[in-house]
Amino acid sequence: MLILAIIMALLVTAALFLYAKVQSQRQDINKLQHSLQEMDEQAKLIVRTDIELNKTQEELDKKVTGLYALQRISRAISTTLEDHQIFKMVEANHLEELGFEKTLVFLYDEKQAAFGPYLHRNYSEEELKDITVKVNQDKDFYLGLIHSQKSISSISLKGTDKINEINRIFKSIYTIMSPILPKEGSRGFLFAGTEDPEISPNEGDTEFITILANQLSAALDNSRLFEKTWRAQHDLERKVEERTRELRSLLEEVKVISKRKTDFISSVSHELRTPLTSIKGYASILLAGKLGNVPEEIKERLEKINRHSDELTHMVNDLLDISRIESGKIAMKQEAQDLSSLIKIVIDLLSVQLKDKDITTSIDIKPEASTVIADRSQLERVFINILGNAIKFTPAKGKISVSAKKSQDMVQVDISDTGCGIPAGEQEKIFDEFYRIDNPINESVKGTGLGLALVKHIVEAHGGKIWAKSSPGAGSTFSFTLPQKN
Amino acid sequence: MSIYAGIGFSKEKDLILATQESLRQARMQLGSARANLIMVFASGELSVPGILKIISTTFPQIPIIGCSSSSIITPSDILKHGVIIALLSLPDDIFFNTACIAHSENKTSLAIGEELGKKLLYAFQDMRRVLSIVFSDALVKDDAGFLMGLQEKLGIIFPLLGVSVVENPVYKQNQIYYNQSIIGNAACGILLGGRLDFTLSTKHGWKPLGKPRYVTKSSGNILHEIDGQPAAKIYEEYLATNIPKLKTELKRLSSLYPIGIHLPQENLYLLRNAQEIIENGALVMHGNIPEGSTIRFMISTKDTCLEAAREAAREVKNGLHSGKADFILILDSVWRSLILGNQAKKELEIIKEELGSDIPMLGLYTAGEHAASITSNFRSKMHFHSQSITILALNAIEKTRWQQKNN
Repeated sequence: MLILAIIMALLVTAALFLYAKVQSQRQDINKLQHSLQEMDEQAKLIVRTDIELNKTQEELDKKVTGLYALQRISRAISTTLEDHQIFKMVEANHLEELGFEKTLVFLYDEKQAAFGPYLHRNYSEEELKDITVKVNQDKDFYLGLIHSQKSISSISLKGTDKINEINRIFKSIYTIMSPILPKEGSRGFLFAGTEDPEISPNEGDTEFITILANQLSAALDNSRLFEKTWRAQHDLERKVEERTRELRSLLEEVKVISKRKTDFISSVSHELRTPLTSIKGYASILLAGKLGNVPEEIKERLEKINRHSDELTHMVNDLLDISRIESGKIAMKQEAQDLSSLIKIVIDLLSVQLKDKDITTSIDIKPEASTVIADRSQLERVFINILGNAIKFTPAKGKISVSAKKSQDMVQVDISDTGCGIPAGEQEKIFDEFYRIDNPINESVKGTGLGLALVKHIVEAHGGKIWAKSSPGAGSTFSFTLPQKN
Repeated sequence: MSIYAGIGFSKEKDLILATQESLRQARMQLGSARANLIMVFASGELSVPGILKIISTTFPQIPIIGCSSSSIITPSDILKHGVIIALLSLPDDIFFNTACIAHSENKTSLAIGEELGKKLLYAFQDMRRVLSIVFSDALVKDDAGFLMGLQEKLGIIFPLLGVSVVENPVYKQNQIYYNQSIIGNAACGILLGGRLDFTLSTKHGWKPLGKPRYVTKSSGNILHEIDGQPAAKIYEEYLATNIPKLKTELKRLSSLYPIGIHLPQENLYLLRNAQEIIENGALVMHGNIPEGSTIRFMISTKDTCLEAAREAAREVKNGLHSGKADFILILDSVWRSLILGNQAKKELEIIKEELGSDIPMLGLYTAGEHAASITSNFRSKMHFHSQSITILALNAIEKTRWQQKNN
């Protein structure tokens, strides 16, 4: 019995122990289950936070991608200034990076009163035709979109019949339309859409498409401005070209006329010289009394004939010389001439006239300008003419100075006087043939008006230049250049 | 003698220019070796028969296999639009046979799998079979049946890599390339044998979160109940949402947070993402979920995904006897790009870092792969992997090792 009681007690103790153990394990399991439940709840919190993070990350990724795409598009469209090329630069993959595989640009042609497609991506030609027809059937809506200057999208028009209709026309399940508003020329709109149900566009996408439409507007403005500028420049170039052509033709005409004039003078001069020689010959015979005594009155007239014939011969010779020089018939000898000695000879030649008017002369030839290359007889004519004029227009007790200096590769000769001077407006004209300044001296002293013209031709035939500087009452300086080397 | 490969790709929009440019690059890279197999992947808009006609005119009578994809993987970039061509020159003692089968309404997936397996085996006779790569599209709806049919003919534990072709959401199509034809609703494949060695690794980068749960009712890819509750409740609870809201975003959310089936023997989780919510809160999953499975809610980050790509590349590298692959095929799940965003290209950089940037490689985005989870000449059970990156490296076995192996 005792043994049985002990066994029973042991069994009860074991049962109690086991019960306690099971209870303890149950508590542990409950604790574990509780912990697991807590862990699961925490996991749910993690997932919900992760969703938010993923969403933010996705949006951020999309914005970064969008910005890159916009930058690339912007760079691409800025490389061209031609309307159609601008749209060609908008590559499909750029817009696809923004999440839109379908793109269209329509511009409104005021003259045709219709929308026309300028860019289309992922549409067949047939689809494009169909969309163009439908857009023009409902053009008031699309013109309204342009006038509103605001973008529309599946978000802004959510649940409306209009967006369903647009999606049907453009074969899209998500749509953004943004007006293209250049300051001048055709306006229109950019359509971006997708058929991909996995893409979930948001307001940010509308912003991107609006920015893109604005970039396209700016590019169109630039293109049109460039075209305007280009056209203006082109017109100007064309006008300059036309005017140059006209001037060239006029110059040719002038050359022809000038040649005719030279030829005419040459032939007339030749024709005049023969009768002049006869006139002078007969006058000389009569004056010499070879045909009998000539009464004093007739003699006086014959002397006049003789003198005028000399003047006419002189004039004809000058004219002939000018025409010969102009036509290149006279070749200038190129010989070294000592300026000082040549000037002294000429002054000596004119010493009677100088003495008559008590005019003093001075010569100042710099050593480096002492020699020139010229035809001696022609150069003498130059000095005789200029110095002769200087004596003519310098009052008594005046002064004439001759100087020469080096000027670059040439020698510049200056002949100054203290004469009456030349008015500013006539300083260039005096070198024209037959031009004579209207002043009292010219009225009293005879001249042909060919002297300075001949001088100019001689100097230029030597490769030099001639000009005059003067102020009325303060004398004149005639300057000319001559070469020092062949 | 090694396997030689020339890879060429193009972003050109024009089909002729794109094909010509790709072929020119591939030929240049292949050098004097003679191509005897061509692999082609192209984006939807370039998926037209013309592309295959140009290739087969340039390389007459050389078998072509491939498929369309939402993105192609080139040695330097991931392209949404483009074409990539691999000209492969396999040594004489590496045998291969290609075959294609179109889906037919009156045939079961099992029968189609058997038929493809039979075609692939044709003329192979007693030759040593090493690996089969199969590209399939709509047949994947009953992928288990199709796979079973293939295994029935090729061998239950025979290494097989089944590529589930992704449907382009815009073009609404997925297409299989076989010689000069582009076929919808089809499967094509290649059976390789002889002096060939391969290494394969599949990784995803998702980690389990929350408590383990049990599939109390399922059939095929329909997940009816988890812990006796309607399956969709798991998403309602974790994402703090309701069924109508969940329906609109289910594909995206379940790609970010898929269900993981725990495989304790292999110490891994097979991912399944939900495609649709049907009556009674049941979920249509991408891939089968067996009843009685332990499942977890899964989560990942960009870093864990990229680390998975690195792990896969390292595993492939470690499995290579010669230390260097002759040719690499990358199969990347289209859903991974959702989480990786603009860092998707980093996976490619990681693979090149680990395996070498000079190795000819190409790849595509897929909807999933059928493969064993254990790498290197595996003889283990095959699974359907979703949201994973799979790297396959091919090598010709060195002659001496090949002889030893044969003796």
